[in-house]
Amino acid sequence: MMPILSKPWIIVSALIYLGVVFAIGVWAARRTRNARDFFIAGQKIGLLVTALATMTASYSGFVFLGGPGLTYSLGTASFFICVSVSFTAGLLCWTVAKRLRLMSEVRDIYTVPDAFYHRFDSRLTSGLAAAGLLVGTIGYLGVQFRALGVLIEAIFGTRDYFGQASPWVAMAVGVSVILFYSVAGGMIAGVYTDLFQGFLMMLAAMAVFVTALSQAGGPAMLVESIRTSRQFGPDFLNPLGTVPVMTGLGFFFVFSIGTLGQPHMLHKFYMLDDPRKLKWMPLMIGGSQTLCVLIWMGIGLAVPALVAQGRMEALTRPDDAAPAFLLQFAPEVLAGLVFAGILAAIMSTADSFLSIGSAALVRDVPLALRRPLKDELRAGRLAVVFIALAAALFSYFYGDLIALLGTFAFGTFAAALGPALAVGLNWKRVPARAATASILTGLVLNLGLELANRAQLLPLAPGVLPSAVALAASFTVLFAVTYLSPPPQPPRPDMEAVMDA
Amino acid sequence: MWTIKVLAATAPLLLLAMVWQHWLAEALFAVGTTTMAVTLMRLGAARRDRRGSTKQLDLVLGVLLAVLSLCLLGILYYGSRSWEIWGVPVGAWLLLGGVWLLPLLWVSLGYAWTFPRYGLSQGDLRRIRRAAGPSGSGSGEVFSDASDSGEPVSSQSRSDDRPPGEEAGSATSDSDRRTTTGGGES
Repeated sequence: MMPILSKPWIIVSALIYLGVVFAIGVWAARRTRNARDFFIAGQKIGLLVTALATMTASYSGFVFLGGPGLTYSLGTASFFICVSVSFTAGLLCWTVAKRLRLMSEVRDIYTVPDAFYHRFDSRLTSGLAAAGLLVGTIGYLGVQFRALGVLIEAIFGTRDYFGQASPWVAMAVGVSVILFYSVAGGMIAGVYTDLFQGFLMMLAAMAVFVTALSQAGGPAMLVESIRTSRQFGPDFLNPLGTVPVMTGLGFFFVFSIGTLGQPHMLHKFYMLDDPRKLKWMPLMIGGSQTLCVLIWMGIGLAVPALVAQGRMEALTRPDDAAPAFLLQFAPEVLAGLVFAGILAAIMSTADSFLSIGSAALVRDVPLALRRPLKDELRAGRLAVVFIALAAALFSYFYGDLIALLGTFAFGTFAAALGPALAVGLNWKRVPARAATASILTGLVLNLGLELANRAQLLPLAPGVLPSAVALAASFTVLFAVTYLSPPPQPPRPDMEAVMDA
Repeated sequence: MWTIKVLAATAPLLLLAMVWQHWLAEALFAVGTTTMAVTLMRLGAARRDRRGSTKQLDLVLGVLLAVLSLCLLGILYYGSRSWEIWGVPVGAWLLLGGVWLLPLLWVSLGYAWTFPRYGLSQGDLRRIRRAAGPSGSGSGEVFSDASDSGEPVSSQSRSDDRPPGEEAGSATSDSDRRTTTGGGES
């Protein structure tokens, strides 16, 4: 029987959740009066909301659906992706957050490409940053839409009605809701739904972690089941047991250092009402991320244990690990809560990307081309629809695991934006041409190596991630061009004050 | 400038480690990654206007570097061995305890502890707003005039193509600024 009929609490929870999000969208639409409200929520957001909005933007279908799926495929090697949350919030705050927020104190800054423009006084640099941001945005949104399709299909059982077209019908339903509140309420709707969604995600993650361990027979039984099974074996629990060393370390490298280039996280720092509140930001972001990672680890380890115990069928599609566990093993009310939490994770990230993607399209690219738009608010709303359609098409044509699709998108941002921003904001010697070369290197290498690797045209050494090569190369080019160039003119006094602080 | 030099040396090293198929390259990559992360933190935390002792900061970041590097090297070392504690490989314990849980508290509390010296005070904010001049966007007073068209009003918006150093409220003379070659780095 379909979940919609056999488990009414799941559908009730999902509908209540969608109703709350819809209501926030209506409320926020009335408070969105200008582009500043639409893109950076009027810069009136406090510590808790900013921290949770940053966490929910960073945690998405990638973590909540892709994570357990990847653990089912790779074992604990997949944890190399998520364990760096222990220090990435500190890395962000120390390296870029303070200066980004201070830049918005002295200049008109809404977006990450804006920061490039004002730091380097170069339209080319900010235009390229916007191009990189758009490519990554479409990739990342594609991840969210794919995950949304998987989840809504599981909740509503749409496969029984629509057959092969089911994932796309399910995706269309979810995307419509996101589009509604993103178009209507912009970033104000985004951050307040993020607040609601953030609490929901943490609650869901903690509850499902306990349930997962309990259903698998406790930690000792879980470990024993996996170790002694023929399908998984002891290597499954060894972080380097199932993947080449460079894959594990590459995950760690890209997902730690690469955080510095993630615009959906960086963008949130502009919204903080008082930059001195950054003091407790690492604790808030790191703590909430750590709680949410529990769903990845809990389901990711419980499902193999249950399969090993013969209580669950082996999965044909690893991305089904979370929905399959919830439908079969979680109490109905908890499953409803967790499904709502996963929906929240996906939709909060998607609305963040729709907002920053539309800002890149209607603000950064036109300004780089010296053709600023007169009505950014209206154009921004249209751009949201355009970007959503592009991402849905990308998701349709790029068939891969959610987590691997997410790795590519994360890597694009990391390699294209991370080095120029992290070093450029802190070292005045970096000229615009070095930042431009670094962005171009990161963008072209990440895309090129990914395509070549998939087509097996340019096999990298075993296990080496294209994103890791692109990120390291982007840093290298940045330093090389900086040292080979004459020292640039010093920044303007306000920017100099920001960089000295 | 030592942080810049370390970063500039680490980046190509990481690149080389990815093509050099050797256990030493893997160890270099592990240590290089943590070194790059911690050095970037140090670079961002450094303030050109805060001379003097950096013991607090160096303690927090030094311990972090040591813990992360040792744990990653431990994972590499134990990766090919079947040593276990309560059925769980030692590498998994190091990953979960040493890379995930331990640094979480250390970094979060370390950041808050060093914030008064390396973060921001009310005085810093006042100084930065002064450098922006009376038409700076500080606290949104400029944007409060933004129209529904969404086009913000500011003397330093992106339509401003004046060369560096010509804006109002300049706090430093042009010649002074041209002599500056350092950065936030001290």
